[in-house]
Amino acid sequence: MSQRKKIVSLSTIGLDSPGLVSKITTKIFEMKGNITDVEENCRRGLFSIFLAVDFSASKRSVDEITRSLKAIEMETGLKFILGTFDEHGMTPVSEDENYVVTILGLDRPGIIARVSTLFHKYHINIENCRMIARGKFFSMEMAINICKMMTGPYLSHDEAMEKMKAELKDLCAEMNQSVVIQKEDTFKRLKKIVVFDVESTLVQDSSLRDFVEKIREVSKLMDSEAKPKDDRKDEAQVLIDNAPKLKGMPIRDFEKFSETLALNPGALELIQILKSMGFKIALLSAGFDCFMKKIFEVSGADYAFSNTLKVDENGIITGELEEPILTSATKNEILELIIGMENISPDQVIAVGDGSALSRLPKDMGLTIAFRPGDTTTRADGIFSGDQIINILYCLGIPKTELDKHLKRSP
Amino acid sequence: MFCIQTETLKLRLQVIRVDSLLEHEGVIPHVADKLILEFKNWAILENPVIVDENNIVLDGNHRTYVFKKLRFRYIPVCKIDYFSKSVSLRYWFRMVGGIRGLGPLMQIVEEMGGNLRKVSNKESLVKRMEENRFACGIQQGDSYTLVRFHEEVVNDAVGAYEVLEKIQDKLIQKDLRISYIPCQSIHDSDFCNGLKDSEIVIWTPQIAKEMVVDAAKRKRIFAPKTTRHLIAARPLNVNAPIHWFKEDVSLEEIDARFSRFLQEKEIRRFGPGQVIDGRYYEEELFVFYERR
Repeated sequence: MSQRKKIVSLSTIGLDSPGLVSKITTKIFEMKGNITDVEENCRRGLFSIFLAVDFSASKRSVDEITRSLKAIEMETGLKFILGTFDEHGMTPVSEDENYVVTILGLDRPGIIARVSTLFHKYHINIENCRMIARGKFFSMEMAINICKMMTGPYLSHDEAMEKMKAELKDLCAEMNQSVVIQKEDTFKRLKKIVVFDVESTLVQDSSLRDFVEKIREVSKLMDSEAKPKDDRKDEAQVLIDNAPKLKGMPIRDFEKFSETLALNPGALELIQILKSMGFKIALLSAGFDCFMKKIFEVSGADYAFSNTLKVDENGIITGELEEPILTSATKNEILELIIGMENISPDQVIAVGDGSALSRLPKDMGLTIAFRPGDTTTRADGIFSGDQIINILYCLGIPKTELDKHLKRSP
Repeated sequence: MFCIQTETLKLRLQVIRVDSLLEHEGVIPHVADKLILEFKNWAILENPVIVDENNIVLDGNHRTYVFKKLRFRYIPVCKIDYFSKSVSLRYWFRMVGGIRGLGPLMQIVEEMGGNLRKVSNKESLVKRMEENRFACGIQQGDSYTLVRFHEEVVNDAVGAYEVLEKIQDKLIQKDLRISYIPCQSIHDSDFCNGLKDSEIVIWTPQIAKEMVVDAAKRKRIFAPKTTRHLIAARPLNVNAPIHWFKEDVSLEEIDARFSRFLQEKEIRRFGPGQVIDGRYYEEELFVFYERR
């Protein structure tokens, strides 16, 4: 029969000074303790550490061990809280059941309270919680464990998780907060490429509407019988549908129209920061290449795919598009091609788009973020409701120090 | 051999002997050195060199230089019909930045025996350069100057670009910046309006395809950054293992292996205007990728 493990937990807090970790861990080592978990923090001159230590190999009694550890209090001025457990009372470590939840938006009272109450309702354990951004803009990262999650009588574990995610997204939408929920193992996986659906993330909605309106007006003039589609939901599709009606227009005139298109504030900076962090950038657009070329020239994207209007030798639009035509429905094929060319796996890809753009992408993406989606029921990992697309950076699991360094450098 | 037939051009992907390649343009040393380092460590050649029927390198001078330098036996190429309408030959103009007036440039040209003559406008410069195929032009704002050298100094296009290279070196010695711009840029009104007072454009002599072929066959090498070939279609992402091309096997064997390798891949065609691996392509693309 195997011997039960002697587990001692140690939490301590006090003023920081050099050598605290060394003093505590050396004492543990001297008593043949094995540290099985540790979390140390140092904030604003205050030091705190949590340790779970297995003393099964120690011949000392638990009382002796705790007395020895308590003795460090006198020496260091730290306050110790000690507890003893056996391993059966503890939650096993299982990364499969761990998720990382990132919440961000303008700060307001009650965010943590309401989110943690929701987790409590589902019996979800918050294992770690840290602020990534403080001040007017709030960003928090929570590591949660769902192994003891309540599923209810009719739901499977996965269904319950989906229900909880939907509830959390609704709750955050209600508080005007963006939220991203990722499995911890995927979260930790090194991401290589960030893919943007250009129309739904980088281009300002109003400028895209103006552009489409201009195209509609021109196509009416070019083809008096034409009845342009009135579907405002997919502006890029309107452009594709109206391409034949542009026949006869000089491409230079058409390119002038595209000057009305403008990028969302922070979009360019976001791409530049992501690039400086080593990410590759892919832009997918069901629009035309003249605008993509401009974004490419200023951002230096690694991949950019869009549609090209065919022109004759005099630079006049023929009304045809170069095959294959890139539509919202075929973007996933291009993404798969990029994944193949980069020789990476889909879980190393971060995709940013609106709900509908993301719903067509392969299911095993590393992270999908819906930028200002029409509704919160999208199957994306995260819903980003803020105006500043640059804040997506807070969802990528980049350490704060690293993030600050890049944000300071950005123009 | 593996063929891709496009609407206007036939792309023949095959392996040839490295020593059969004919370069027509020199390399930029620091670019070549960097590429040598990369190829020593790289396991694959992403894109084949583009050559004509005579194995004259049209695109990929630096890769050719590296393959020769690293003593490869073979190299994968994409052979095309150079004289097809789908292959255009452009050239690079030089932009001199940070210069105060025409003085320093005129002095260098005169020291090298060049003859400078002001012309009234852009059209006039174009006409004069058509009449004098080895002449250069200088543009500063709306002011245009024709530059000619005596026949003893310049008697062919390669010679004209050699002189230009020497002028360029002297300008660099004077701490002036040189950049390369596509020759068509000067017809773009935005470009001309955007020219600063401290910027001068050197119009380089017009080159014809026949001159490229002639120079390559006579092993006369144009200065780096002379020609700019616009090829209507190109293969990408071939990713052939480079160690194959050092093997002591016959040309037939390595070519057959390369063809089988390509046959096992998928190809996706893209129209012009796409960006792949940080480069904007104005041409039709045939992108190879692994079958899943």
